Amino acid sequence: MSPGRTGARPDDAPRILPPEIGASFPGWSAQAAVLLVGAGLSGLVVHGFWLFVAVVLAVVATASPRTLVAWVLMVYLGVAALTLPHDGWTWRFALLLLGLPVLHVAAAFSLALPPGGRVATGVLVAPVRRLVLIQVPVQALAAVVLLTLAPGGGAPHLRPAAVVAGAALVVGVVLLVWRWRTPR
Amino acid sequence: MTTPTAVVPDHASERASGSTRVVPLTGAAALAGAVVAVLLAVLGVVVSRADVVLLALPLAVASAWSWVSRPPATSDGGPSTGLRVQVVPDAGARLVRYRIGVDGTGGTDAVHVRVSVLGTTPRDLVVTPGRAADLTGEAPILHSGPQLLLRLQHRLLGQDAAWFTAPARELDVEQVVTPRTVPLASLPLPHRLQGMTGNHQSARPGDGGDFRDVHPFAPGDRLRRIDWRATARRARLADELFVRRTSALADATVVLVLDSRDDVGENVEDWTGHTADGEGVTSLDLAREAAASLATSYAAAGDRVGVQDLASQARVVQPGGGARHRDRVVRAVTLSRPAGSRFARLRAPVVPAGALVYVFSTFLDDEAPRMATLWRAGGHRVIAVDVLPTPRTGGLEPHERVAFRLVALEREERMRTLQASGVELLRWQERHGGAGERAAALRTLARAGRGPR
Repeated sequence: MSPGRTGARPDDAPRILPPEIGASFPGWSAQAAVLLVGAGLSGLVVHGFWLFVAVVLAVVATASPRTLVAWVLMVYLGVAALTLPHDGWTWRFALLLLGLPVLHVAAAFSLALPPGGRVATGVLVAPVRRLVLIQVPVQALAAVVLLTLAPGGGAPHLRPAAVVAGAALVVGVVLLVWRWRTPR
Repeated sequence: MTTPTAVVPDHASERASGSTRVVPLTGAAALAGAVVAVLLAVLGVVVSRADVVLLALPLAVASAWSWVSRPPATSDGGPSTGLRVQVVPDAGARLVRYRIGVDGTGGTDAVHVRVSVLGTTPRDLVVTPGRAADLTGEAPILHSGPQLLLRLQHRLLGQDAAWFTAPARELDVEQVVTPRTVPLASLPLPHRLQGMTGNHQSARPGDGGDFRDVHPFAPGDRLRRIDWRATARRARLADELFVRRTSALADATVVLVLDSRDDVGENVEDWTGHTADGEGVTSLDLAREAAASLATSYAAAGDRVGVQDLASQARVVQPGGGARHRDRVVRAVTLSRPAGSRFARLRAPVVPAGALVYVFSTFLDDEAPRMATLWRAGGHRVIAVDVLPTPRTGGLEPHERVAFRLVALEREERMRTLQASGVELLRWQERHGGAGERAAALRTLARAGRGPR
């Protein structure tokens, strides 16, 4: 007799259900989000053959989150941003500035969430709130910086200041990562 | 139609707490985000592109924020977290309500709980920490005896899922459900009753019973037993006296023998191991219900009841009487669980002389019938209680149907051989609904009477 199959279920057999968690979505939605956001950002920034490469990276990141290819895609898109016109703030840049953190969070969730599980919608509240809290000042800062440094913006002399600020950012992150490696 | 037999779980409220454990923590996403931010910032600095540096900024802030806000690590390297479970049975609704709580969720965005209810496929649920502190659910009471109610495992997900812990140790929550007892109006008795006290009329003369006969006075008879009217009618000599004799009372000794080597359900497809995994009533459910009902009825009648188990030498309760002993017997029956065939018996377990032996089994192999035949050959009255549920053959392949037919034919032959050896048969589960068949069978067995067979 073959094991593993369930027999005919009587119509009046009580159903065995897991605990109720309210409104929810499937766990594989995070992987779907990686594909959608990754492919969408790719279409925004690159074209032609490089778009094909970006889409392949997005597909691999979706299929196998543990390979961390999603972050490789982020670096790829960051490098591709160099090909964008360097003429100040644009909607394309604003979307990329929003999309990269969203891709980071989606990739982190695809790494952590079970694809076959159910995720309560309330789980998204804190990440969305955090994303908005970070994006609002960053978008504002980006608009100010890029408009100021634009060819017609009137302050090309601030370019060295931007480089120094970038270096300070790098140092700050390195210090934080260093703090992570030392026990608390 | 499925007829669940187990309805009354033990204890009004049970608590089972998982131990608080330190779990290791991994932060691949946080590290990856920080690395991407550094790379983009360096790239932006090298090529003097402030826009590329700005792309790194939200990633750096998000990664650092999520990592810095993780819960404090213990000396073993990770946060401490635990599970609490409270179980409350609802006998009226035939279900059990449970409440799961996860502790130590500070600094997390979500809790991943893996839960398996009544041994079904585990379900993964990801909820907020607030919801994880009070997850509630219900489980139907499908079977009697010991059973796994919940199997739980959980892990913590940090801010933006940038870090998460390894799964904590599994927590199993078991419950023990007392079988339902059915009132029995007719109770078969052994061929020979033992003892000098009890509730049954004995064949021996003595005190306490009904009128037996009028007998000439013999040494040992009490003077107050002299029946003067019978003496006046019958006595031929002046010194001849007649006494009115009564029957003595005696109690019955009943031994309930469970065959817990297997536990098969209604679905024939699931007859692959020693545990029943399908829906519907199982053979051990029927055996527990039958044994508990008989134990309760015999104890109420003042008889002595004991328990044995063919699969275990530990679950033995010697025959005794009284309410407390009845509870001990019902508890031993309730705690029986499928144990497999770990050893073969050369001799039948010893039972008191003159005891009535009930054997509760599916009779799918020769072990239980062999024991029953040995007891019968030893002079005991043996009643074989058939606790095999009505088989459901839906979903079987053609070759499986043939195999089942062969098994069924062998079993029928086994039962006929049992009857031929003097063992009486009683089927516990009603075939066509209602309680008529079983009650009629018990009346027939009770009327079969006592005496040498």
